[in-house]
Amino acid sequence: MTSGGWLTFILSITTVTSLFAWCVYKVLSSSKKQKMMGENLFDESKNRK
Amino acid sequence: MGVILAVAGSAVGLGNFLKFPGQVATYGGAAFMIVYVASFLLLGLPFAMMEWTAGRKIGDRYHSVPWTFVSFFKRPSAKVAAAVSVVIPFVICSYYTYIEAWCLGYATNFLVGNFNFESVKDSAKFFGEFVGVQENGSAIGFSLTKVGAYFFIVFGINFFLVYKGVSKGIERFCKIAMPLLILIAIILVIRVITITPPKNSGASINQGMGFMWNPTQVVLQVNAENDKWTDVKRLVGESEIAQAREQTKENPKMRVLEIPLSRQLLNPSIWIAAVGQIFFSMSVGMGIIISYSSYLRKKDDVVLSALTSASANEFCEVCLGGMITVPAAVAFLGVSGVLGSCASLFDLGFNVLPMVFLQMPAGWIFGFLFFFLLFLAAITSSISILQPSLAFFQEVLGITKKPAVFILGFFMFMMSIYSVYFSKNLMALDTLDFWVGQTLIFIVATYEILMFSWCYGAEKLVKDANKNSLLKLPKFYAILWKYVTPSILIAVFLGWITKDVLGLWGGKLSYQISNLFIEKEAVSWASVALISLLCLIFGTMIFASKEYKELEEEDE
Repeated sequence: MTSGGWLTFILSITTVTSLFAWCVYKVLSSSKKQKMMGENLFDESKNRK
Repeated sequence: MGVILAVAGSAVGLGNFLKFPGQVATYGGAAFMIVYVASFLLLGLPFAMMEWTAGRKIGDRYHSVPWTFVSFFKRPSAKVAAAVSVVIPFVICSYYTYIEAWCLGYATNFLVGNFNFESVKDSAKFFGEFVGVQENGSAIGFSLTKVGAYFFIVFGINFFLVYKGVSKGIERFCKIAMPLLILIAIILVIRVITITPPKNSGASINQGMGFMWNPTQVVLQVNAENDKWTDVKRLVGESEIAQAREQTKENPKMRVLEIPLSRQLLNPSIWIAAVGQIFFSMSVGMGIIISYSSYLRKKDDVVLSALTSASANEFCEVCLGGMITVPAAVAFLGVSGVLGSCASLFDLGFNVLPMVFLQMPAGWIFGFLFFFLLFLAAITSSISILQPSLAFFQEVLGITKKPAVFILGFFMFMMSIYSVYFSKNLMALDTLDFWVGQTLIFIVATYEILMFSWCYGAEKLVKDANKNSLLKLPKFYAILWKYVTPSILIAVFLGWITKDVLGLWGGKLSYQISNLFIEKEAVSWASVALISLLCLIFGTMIFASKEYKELEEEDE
């Protein structure tokens, strides 16, 4: 792999992993704030039937 | 954490591990990634944000795409688009379960040690017999080396999970399946990085990585006639390039050409491929996101949910999918071996990779893990693809979930059996995928985004998205929804139709069109007739539904 290849590879991996890690952090911290931990994501009681 | 895993499960599928690496390798690393990132930011993410927002808004009582369309757009064209929007996930799921059965079958055959191939040809022969490529009906068998039994198992698992419900079935399953999938993928990535390729392959993992990620493509060309240079071989690695340069010194009819990044970006095919990859990989336009997000509470954050789901999908695609298949295949079979054996998405996964695993020490374990990984990725997607159809049957027939599951199960079984039975050259699967999974999905998605942004109002949608959201959607999203995203969708769709379907603009006439109008294949025509019939049935159900009429009147 050329240096350009390494650069593309590292840039792609780092960007995607950082975005994912940041989202996980945000979801976990916001879940704590809203006391959502342990609750189900989907609220099926909303189903009219 | 369950939140992230459940939504990611719907997005992560076979395309992440099979299609993406093949696309990056074909179109060149940096060039493809530039277009891919642009497509993610300008098309994938805005589309996902729109669907998450619409789903949460509509979800007080209803969870299907037809109701979302009818309720938001309030015009007869919405009912027509709604009918097609039901056909899309219904048909996709019918053949997706068939492919899921292949993955389970391959995992099982690796585990019991049934694979003992000498070459990719042997591997391809097994695949052909396993899925029934030679003759219609030949896939239906109940031995370990026939897809029939696996199909019934996969079908049963799908409907059991859907029967259990969104939170008790799908969400709970994803909480186990997604970490397992990521763990298996990490094990495979580590194995691929530490591979010592056989000496006769003449390649290395570094070369495999270079094949995928190098920004400048180097090709060996030959001047066959009339000064027209044609590509002979992709060159990767210093030694291979130096060897080719030596060879061309003595032969004026051959040359080594470096294609720079800027020239690769001017190739329209790369744009079509990258936009298509983002669109299908993020599961937008299928109704899955609308259906899922309709179960969210009003206080839930749709902006963060959409971003998290999209980033999880990208993580699995780029960091995991991009590291396994192509580097391993190149290391074992060489660049030309991989390119020569990869005419389609399935060739790389089901013909080339089994051969690669068989050449590794303890390859049966890694082969089992890889196909089990594909099975998990596929099943977490298929259970979510079923959700929009289930919601539709419940609403339009006015029935509870349990009978709706049985009715959907019956019709889905009949539809899936159609793909499984007419397996000769995979024609039924291929035709259904072409017309529904590639064509109708683009048309409905374009209608959807134009109507949401121009009829409902893009500015209103931004306000809806920002209600109770920790992250605020910037105002420029209204411009993206109104102008940028639909323009990209339309341009790429027209480009794809012109080049890859009709064979104009230097392209090749698609074999699905050729099967219909030149070969006049009965199965191709039957598949198109089936799709039309489904559109008609679902359309009639929507137009005739008392439930829908009452709800429309309620709104008025």
